[in-house]
Amino acid sequence: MADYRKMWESLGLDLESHDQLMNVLPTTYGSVYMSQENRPEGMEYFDFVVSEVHGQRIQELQDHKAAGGKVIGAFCVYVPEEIVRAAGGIQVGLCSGVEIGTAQAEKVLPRNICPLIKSFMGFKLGKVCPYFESCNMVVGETTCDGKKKAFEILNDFVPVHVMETPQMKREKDKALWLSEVQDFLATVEEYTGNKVTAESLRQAIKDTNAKRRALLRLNELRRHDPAPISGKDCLLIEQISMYDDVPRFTAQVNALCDELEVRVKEGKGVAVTGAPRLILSGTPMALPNWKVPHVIETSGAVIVAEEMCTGLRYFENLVPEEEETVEQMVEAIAGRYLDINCACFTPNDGRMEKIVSLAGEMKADGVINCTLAFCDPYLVEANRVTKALQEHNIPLLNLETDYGQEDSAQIKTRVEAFLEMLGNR
Amino acid sequence: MFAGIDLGSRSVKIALMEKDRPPRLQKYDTMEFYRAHGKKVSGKFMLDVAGTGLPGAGAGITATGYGRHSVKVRGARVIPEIKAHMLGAIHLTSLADFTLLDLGGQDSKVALVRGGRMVDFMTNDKCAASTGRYLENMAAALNISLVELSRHYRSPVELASTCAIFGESELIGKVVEGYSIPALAAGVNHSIFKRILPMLNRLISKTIVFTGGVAYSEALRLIIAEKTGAQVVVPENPEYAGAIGCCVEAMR
Repeated sequence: MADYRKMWESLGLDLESHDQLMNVLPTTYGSVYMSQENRPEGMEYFDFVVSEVHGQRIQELQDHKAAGGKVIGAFCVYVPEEIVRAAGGIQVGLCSGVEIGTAQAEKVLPRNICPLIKSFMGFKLGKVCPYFESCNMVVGETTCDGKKKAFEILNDFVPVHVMETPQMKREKDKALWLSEVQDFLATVEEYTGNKVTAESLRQAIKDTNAKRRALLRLNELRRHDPAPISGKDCLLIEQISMYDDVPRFTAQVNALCDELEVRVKEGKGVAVTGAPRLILSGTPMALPNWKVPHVIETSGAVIVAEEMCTGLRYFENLVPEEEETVEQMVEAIAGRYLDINCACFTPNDGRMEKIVSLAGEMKADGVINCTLAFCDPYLVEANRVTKALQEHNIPLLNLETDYGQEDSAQIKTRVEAFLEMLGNR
Repeated sequence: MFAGIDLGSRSVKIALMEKDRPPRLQKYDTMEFYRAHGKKVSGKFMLDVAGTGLPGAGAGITATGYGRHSVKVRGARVIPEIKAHMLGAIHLTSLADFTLLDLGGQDSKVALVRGGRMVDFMTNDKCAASTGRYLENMAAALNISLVELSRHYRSPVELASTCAIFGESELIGKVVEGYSIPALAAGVNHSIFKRILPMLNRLISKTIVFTGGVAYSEALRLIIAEKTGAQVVVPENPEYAGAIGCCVEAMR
């Protein structure tokens, strides 16, 4: 590995805390990922990306900035990355997914709050995220009360542009969201100093669609029994999709899919044929949060889809490519993004319909609905999920957890009992 | 000879079984057991059960319990916890259709059993409320034994918290208000019941098989029977259901 310490230092990272994080990550990654059997060879690229998560990619961002480019950070799949790309910027997903900087975060946040929010605040205040430190602007949204209010605090440390995501999906809400996307375009243009043209936006839409199509192709391949790839590996790819270089990532996912198609033809898989197939639904699992998938897949089951923001919600819809003008394209983008089934909407029937149809398509034996502690939208919505799945006689296990590891054994007990129950059906 | 070992949070239970003979049972304090029989081997905590009455580090050991994945028992096969408890309960009661209620040292489990198979289940979250640990802490706060605590169920004091930690402050508040020990003890027992009632309501049967160390509590047995209207069956040696279930699984 190249020596990145100078770069980290110049970004103002707290090197001591950062070293601690960098020391933990390879061990965790080794036990969660490298211990898997029959992994596709194409995962080598994604292993490399993780090994360079704070290295090569950060270097690329610095090179981009040195050439006059801008880096914009975001936390939510509602932030339209096509627009940033069309203005010559790079959008990256910001760090979370691990207990870090808790002491600093609790100086500005209440102790009992969503671990994702506490984590990103900890990353920023603890100066341990080189992505955060590479951004001159962060884009927030109003998808939950916790994030919405936390962005006010975050704005003390880095400029935050907040997009107002509506809470319903009526015509007037669509109009609001369109105006938010239009404002975002203007902000990004001003920030990057680049005008978004019909040509650049069309290309950005095509590039991003190509990325989403590659992810869709990967997910289609998971319909097969035996599953050609593990859920953990797919989650990793979905996590990486948020910050990797778009064309390179797309090419690598497609190359992996080529390999998986051969596997499917040969009947090869990562789990035995007939292994219990589960859908994971719920709150996003930001890198390096792999706890629950690891428990599930080391208990003999295989995950065949993630109905999550780090999953299907990120890539299930495409932006139409045939629009002519910037205005039409912005409208198409706004429409595409408002189709995401986030629990911040009321009602959110689209999500229930999606889980039910997905269970059929993926020939799933059951669903695990996993929610972060203190996440009201998803915790309350678990009732709607339960009701919808009961109506369709689809087994469901609801889990509530955080980024700590101390409940792994309890989660394992419940997952094992759930699998036992599925076996008895 | 089959050996079952249940690595609980508070105690390690061992059952030795042969076909058509009553099981031999042994119990150890978890911390003492780990200190006496465990050591770290290439980064993993290994338990060597030779010298504990188990048939050595050979074949035939089946393990379950809270520590089943973090602790390696030499030569043991690991089975899921709720399955082990269910198999043990079936073996001990000869019942096939019931609700299993297992209240252990640090967790609580409810499973719906039909035709000898588990069809649904619930457990507590990462919290020791409504478990043996809560009872231990409350008995200590009242300065009475667990046996004494388990005698009282009449005219309970209303307690809101079943937290193994914060329950104590509430209890002390009630002591200061002048309630009697029997009323306070009854309050503790009723508060556990309130905490498990939602789980029981969802998975209720005509018969509840009550296992785990907490099943020794006569007060809880009576409260559960009275409030749910179900028949409460507590097998002999209820805290060995998991270890016995391990043997049952191995004998199948």
